Amino acid sequence: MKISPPKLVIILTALAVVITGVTYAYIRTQQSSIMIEQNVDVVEIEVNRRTAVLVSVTLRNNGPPLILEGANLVKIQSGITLASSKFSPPIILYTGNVTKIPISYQLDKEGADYFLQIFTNKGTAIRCTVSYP
Amino acid sequence: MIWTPLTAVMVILGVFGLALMLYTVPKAYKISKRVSKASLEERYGLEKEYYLLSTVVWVVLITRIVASVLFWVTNESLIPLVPGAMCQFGVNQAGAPYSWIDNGVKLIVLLVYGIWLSLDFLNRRVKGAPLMRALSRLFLLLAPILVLDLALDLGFYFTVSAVTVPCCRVVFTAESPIPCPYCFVFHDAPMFIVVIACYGLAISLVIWSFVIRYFMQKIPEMENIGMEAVRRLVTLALGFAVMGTVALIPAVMQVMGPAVPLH
Repeated sequence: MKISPPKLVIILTALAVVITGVTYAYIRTQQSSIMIEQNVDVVEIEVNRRTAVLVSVTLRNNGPPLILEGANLVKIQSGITLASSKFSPPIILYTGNVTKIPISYQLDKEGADYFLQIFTNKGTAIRCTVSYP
Repeated sequence: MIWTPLTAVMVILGVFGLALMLYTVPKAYKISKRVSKASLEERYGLEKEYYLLSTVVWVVLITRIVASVLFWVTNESLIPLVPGAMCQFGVNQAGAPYSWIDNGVKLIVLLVYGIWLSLDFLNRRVKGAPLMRALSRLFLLLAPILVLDLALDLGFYFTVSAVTVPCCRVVFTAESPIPCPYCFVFHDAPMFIVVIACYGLAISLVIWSFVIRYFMQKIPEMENIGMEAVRRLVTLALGFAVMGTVALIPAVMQVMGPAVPLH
């Protein structure tokens, strides 16, 4: 079967729309399927307002000890993960302790809302909203 | 109005376009009315007049296509100047309602103006300018869109000011099923600009080729040159579609983002 070039253009365009839609739906599903850690409170989020850098997040663990493996930053308005990092070595959150987690993520200078997600070894995530400015 | 080099260029292009419109529309009307009943001598005069008109219309339409690209660049440059604006959504809020309609018009200008330009390009290559009447009529048909395009640009850039506006964070929250298109395309996954531009061009070229085919059936003198043009347009369209598909790979990778550091 021979496909004419105009039909091929239309097929490729339709395919691109479908691929983009499916990719976006996939990342949204992935993000919403993350289990949220219930025993950790976010005490403080430190942002350097001069440079628009998310500097650190302070957490209090009210449950059993947790190992933090990494973090990522998702921009709420676009749904895209802008930055991701792995803690090396992993950070341990002991019961009842308040721990400052150093993070260095550049935020949009114009401003936006973000989800900062910190992943534990249990497969759960500590999630907090960061609004800048 | 916020005066920046880019907004000044947009206003100048708008005023320039409106001034040339005032020249071209009456001429196009005259040609479309007279050409069917014209004697051979009168037709020759109209043909000469048409060539002048066509040159001016080329200038108008090409500047409008350039302005449609500059539109997005200008809006992006206005973000830091509009308090509260985080993306073009905020700039559009500051220039509402003109901005929103202008956004829609700018998406179709290349497709619409390109139809006239491609037909005129062929008309200049065929002896006797057989599409003179059709192109004059088509230009009169395009005139409302052109006026809308020009008026919206002027309305928008004269309205937009440094007022505090609510931006996309009010509309696009974590629960929104779709992302803010401006944040998504212009800030976080800019490869989609290439993808959208390539597919937009590909679809436009295919539609222009269909229009040329339509006129080829009506005017037999155009057949040879028309077939060649259709073949080239379709090949070019396919090239752009392939480019868009290739650009889609890094664009999708931008959306997927850095790997989530789960074990």
